[in-house]
Amino acid sequence: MPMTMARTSLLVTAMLVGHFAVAEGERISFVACPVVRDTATVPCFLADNAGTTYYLGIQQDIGADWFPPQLNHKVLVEGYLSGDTVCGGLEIKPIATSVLPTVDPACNTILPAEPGIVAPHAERGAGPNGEVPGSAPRRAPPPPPEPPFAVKEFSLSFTFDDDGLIAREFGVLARAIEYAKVSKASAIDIVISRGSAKLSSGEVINEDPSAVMRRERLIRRWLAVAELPTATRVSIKPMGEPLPADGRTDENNRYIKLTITPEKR
Amino acid sequence: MNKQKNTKLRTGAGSLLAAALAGISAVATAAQPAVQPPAAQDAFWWRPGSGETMPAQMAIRNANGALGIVNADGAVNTRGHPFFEPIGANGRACVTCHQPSDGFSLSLKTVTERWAESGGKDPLFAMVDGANCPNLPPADPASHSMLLEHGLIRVAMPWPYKKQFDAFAAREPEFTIEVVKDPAGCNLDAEYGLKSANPTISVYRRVRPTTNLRYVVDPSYDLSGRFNNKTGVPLPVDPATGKHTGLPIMSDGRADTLEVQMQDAIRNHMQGMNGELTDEVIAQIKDYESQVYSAQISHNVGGSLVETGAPPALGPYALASGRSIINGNNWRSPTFMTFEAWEKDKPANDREAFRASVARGNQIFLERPIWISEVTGFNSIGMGNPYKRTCVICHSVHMTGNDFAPGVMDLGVNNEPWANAGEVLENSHLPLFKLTCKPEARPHPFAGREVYTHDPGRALLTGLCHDIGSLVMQPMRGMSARAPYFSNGSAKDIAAVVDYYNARFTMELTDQEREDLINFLSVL
Ligand code: HEC
Ligand code: HEC
Repeated sequence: MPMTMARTSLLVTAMLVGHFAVAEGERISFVACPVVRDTATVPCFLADNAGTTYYLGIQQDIGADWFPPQLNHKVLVEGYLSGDTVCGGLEIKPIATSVLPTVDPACNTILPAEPGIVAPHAERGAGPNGEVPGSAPRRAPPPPPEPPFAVKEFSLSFTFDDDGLIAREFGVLARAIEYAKVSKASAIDIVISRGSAKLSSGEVINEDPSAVMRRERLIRRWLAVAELPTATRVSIKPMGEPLPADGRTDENNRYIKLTITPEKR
Repeated sequence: MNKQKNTKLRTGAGSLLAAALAGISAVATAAQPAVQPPAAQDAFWWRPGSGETMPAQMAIRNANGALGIVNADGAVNTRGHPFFEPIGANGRACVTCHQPSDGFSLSLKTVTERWAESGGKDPLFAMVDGANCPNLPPADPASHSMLLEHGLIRVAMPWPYKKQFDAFAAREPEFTIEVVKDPAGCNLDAEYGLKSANPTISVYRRVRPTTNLRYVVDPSYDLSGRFNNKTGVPLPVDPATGKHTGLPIMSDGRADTLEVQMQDAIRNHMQGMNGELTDEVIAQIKDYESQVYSAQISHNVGGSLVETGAPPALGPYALASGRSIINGNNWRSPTFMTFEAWEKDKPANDREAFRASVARGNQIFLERPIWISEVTGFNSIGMGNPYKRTCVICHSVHMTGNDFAPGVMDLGVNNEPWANAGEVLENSHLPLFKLTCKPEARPHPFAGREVYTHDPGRALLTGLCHDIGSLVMQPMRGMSARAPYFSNGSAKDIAAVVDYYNARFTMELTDQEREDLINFLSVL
């Protein structure tokens, strides 16, 4: 489905904000179509739930900490109200968003720029970058791990139902593998979680078991080329049942955890 | 190796050209070198095995003006040279398909002329991939319609894929493939098709230019510590250098290095040597490919593109001396630098008017935000969908406009509904496949579980739904010499490329802006 530039108007948020008491720090979690609001600079990503418009974030790039949702897909939003109104929506911050895998052509709304609706400052605008070359400056790699080695845990986080490793997680995995090699790990114990989410409506949604399978495939592919010490014992435990949702920290329960036990000396 | 080459270029006082280029700093060049360009000659067929010497610089006419070629290491003696000699078994050389007059690709014009001149007998039309399918009647135009009418070579991909292509391929493909339509007749063929003893998918692709390759694979560019940001797995390692590479070669990134690509070419296009090449031959081809630069050098209306004061990115000399590892998606080193010299509000004549139009075209390319949407491998990897940015976010390699990062993405030229001008895929001359993602796979990000496509692209190597339709772009230089465009040849001229984007990303170009972009692309 090509994206249509639907100009259907959302509820007028400015009015809404006046009518609702905004509880700062209140937990909010829902599934909805994202809505794109064009501005004079970069677009804002919003979403509507139960008659209220929320502000999720702005367009950035893959070096950023937060990834915007995608039209043509619903988004799972989890976070806390900041008490501010940004780009015409109640700001959720901190926020975790997950692009749900099913294609949903109904999620196709782009609202035109309007005077008075201003996106927060964007490090990268809608044109070529400023003085900074294309990608975020590469941080110097951390120094190689040094003895004495202890049991160490590395955690990779995922969004709901996804197995994609995002840019900032690459380094975690690379460091885990390096630690296993340098410490001549006797064991790597890997737990692959299956998460869940309790929405503000009370509904609980569970990750599909296939997401766990795909996370397992990802980690196995990495291990296949990791050139680990031959003595390293690797155990991989994918979860069958989802972790219980508490409606507060569910975004943290979608992960691969690697526990690395160094060689006994 | 290229570092060496550059030094040679800068110190090789033997040739005037080298001396002129030597004056340019290794940093992004800011001005055209003072070089006397050669007189333009008519386009010609470079006959394999002709043994002619290729001069250090050439200018060869095309419909828009002339293409300039620079051999940075000086004139090339092609006698016995493996790029130019028919070293395979079917009379073809590399140069058969990578013709100097066509910017080292193969234009449709050249194909039709060869057919006429040789009565269809030129080795270019070898049945192995110069025909729609190897077992069709030879020398019958209908058997060669893909090449004759669209400039397309058959690329035969084993299916399921062979493991050697990608260490990270899914163990089992995430999808099944059905052939929905097969106008060329090869995918349903009992001997060569998907149901044959050696199940094969035939896709039909354009020849990619073997020039300016330093901007495609620079051995000093190390992606170590980086990952395939499309799939989260490590990048392949070049066994020769031990460095990670970014899948830049071939439209599906199936060759990690030029060496691997050569073996593929010898085995498949030239049916020779079981794909075994000696180290010497490999080095000779690679050396040649790595030092030949080409770009449009003059334009019928715009005049010289390399005269003193011309925009600094134009012409082949700038490419020969430019730095290859700079990101062009910024104001410091924009992809094609600046066209300020040609900006003019009140042009005095046609030439000035054309040049001002080119300058405006570059401005659109560099500065005009568009809604980039539903591009798998771009919008699906964390950028967000849509993404408001300009052409250079994707066409980001300084001087050439290809993509250094693992650039595989699905622009949509092969898929419903973004194929050419909303074309109904079933009416196309291209084969049509239906790929169905298995229930446990994450579906294709924008097409869903059932994807109709003319070319599954990288997914034929990885078996991943996410990769269906994903392709790697090529440098944008010498376009006037090598129509048609896009990997499937679906844009018959430069105007069609611009019209594609105008529709694809809802650009709403005015007639003037459309012309500006066309003019701009025609002088690259
Ligand atoms: C029958 C025509 C033909 C012959 C002969 C041929 N090629 Fe190619 N070449 C192609 C096609 C078609 C592609 C693009 C294939 C694809 O994208 O899947 C290509 C792609 C390439 C590329 C990739 C360029 C890039 O930017 O990705 C290189 C390099 C190349 N060829 C070198 C060679 C060499 C070296 C030889 C001789 C050993 C050769 N070719 C012989 C048709 C040919
Ligand atoms: C989302 C990334 C993206 C953006 C944005 C983008 N392109 Fe492309 N472009 C591609 C890809 C991928 C290809 C290769 C497609 C193929 O070969 O099938 C390509 C191919 C091309 C070619 C191909 C030429 C050839 O050699 O066959 C031209 C010219 C081009 N683009 C111009 C533009 C212009 C002008 C714009 C801005 C209006 C633009 N592109 C914006 C990704 C992009």
